[in-house]
Amino acid sequence: MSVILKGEAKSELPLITFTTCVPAAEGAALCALLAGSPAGAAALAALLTTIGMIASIGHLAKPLRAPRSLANLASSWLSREIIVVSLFWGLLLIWLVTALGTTGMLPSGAEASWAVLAFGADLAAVAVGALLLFVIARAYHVSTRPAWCSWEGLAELWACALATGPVGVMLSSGPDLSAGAIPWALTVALPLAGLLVDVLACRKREQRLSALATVSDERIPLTLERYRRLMPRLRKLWGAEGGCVAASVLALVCWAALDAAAMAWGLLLAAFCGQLVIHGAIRAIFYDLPVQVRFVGRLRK
Amino acid sequence: MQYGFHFNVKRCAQCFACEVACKSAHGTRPHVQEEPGTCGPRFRQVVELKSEEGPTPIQYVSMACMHCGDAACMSVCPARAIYRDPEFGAVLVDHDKCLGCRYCSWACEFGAPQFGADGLMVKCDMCIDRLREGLDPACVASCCGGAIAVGPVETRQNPVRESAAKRLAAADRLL
Repeated sequence: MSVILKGEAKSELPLITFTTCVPAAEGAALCALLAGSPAGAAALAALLTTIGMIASIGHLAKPLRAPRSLANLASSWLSREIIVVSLFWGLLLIWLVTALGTTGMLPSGAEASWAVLAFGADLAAVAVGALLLFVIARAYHVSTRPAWCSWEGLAELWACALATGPVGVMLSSGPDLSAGAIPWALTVALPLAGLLVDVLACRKREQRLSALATVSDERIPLTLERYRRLMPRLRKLWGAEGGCVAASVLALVCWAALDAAAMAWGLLLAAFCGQLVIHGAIRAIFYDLPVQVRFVGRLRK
Repeated sequence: MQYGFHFNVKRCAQCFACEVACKSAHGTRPHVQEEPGTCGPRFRQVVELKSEEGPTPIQYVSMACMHCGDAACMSVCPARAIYRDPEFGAVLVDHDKCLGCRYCSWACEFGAPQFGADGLMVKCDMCIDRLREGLDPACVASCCGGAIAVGPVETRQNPVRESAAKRLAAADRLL
């Protein structure tokens, strides 16, 4: 008999928030490179990362002890995650300040110099952000949870980045979508690519676990059973993701053909918020998957 | 020196005295049979094993923290709140450093880390205070069948080997 403890269930909403907002920030930073690293995108990325960091601190039983989480860089991926996210956040702030310089909001200095610095800070943030997503995925690589022990987790983080990045950058450029805009095709193609990555990652995880099921303990069959029960919800989420892509297309049509900038911006906002919520819900399924089995207790022949 | 628990499943009487003694020694709430998991932390837990063929329990195993030589909880703790006692090798937690992030509970294969009402990690500490006074841990002292023992890992193997060697020798004589 496997002892599945009822009392250990705990809301993972803070971690869901962190692992949704941080990839979204990385996606915005990446797509902003195509739009000249505008200040709006920097502000959006910095805001998302700030929200994620506050949420992850809120997850702790003793939030005031959060600085202690850097004490074990030698062996703890969680310590490494904290230091890399701090570096990412710092680079986003530098990007924001230098991007504000391009708008003339900062005293003196040629705008061209600020633009170069902003681009450089954005590029550095993207590189560190990519490392951050890798470190986050590694932190979830624990042998007790086979559902998490492969590349699918990293793929799903990137799927969130691709889904939210282009829409976020378009949104942050304000109602006048021509300012700091990225190629429209990418506003549709990248989220579709993210959706494809989500679907493929889910399929691959199921296949991998099914292959392991016959040679493993109860955790994997129980995880697969849970996966099957969660699949209808996942399909609905994928459908909703497609709906968000459609909303983005409609927004661009509204702006280009109908000259309805406010309506277009509203649709983009809905698409962006929708993608964040959908990827948060997909992330919730990620946390629901592993069965919290304390002791495997069924004797096999 | 690394101390370890040794559990002889053949001697276990399924009396649950070890679990009760552990709870009493650590001041944790009593066990509630009908709703496992709602009774607070169970540092030592008697697990019922059932056959795949039916629901009747056929074996009981008393399990606590393994105090692993290469403890996963120690290596993943971001705050270095989990450490090893130099005298007995017990894996202990420093509550002044613990963040309550629960990462150790993800890493442990044996479900040893649990969380108190304050959200900080608690687990079997091998009754380190009793060991330092020359006493056995509460579970060892209370075990009526002598199923649980504690001692240096190196020497604990010898009685097991001696017992197995006697059985082999007896079998050989019969042949």
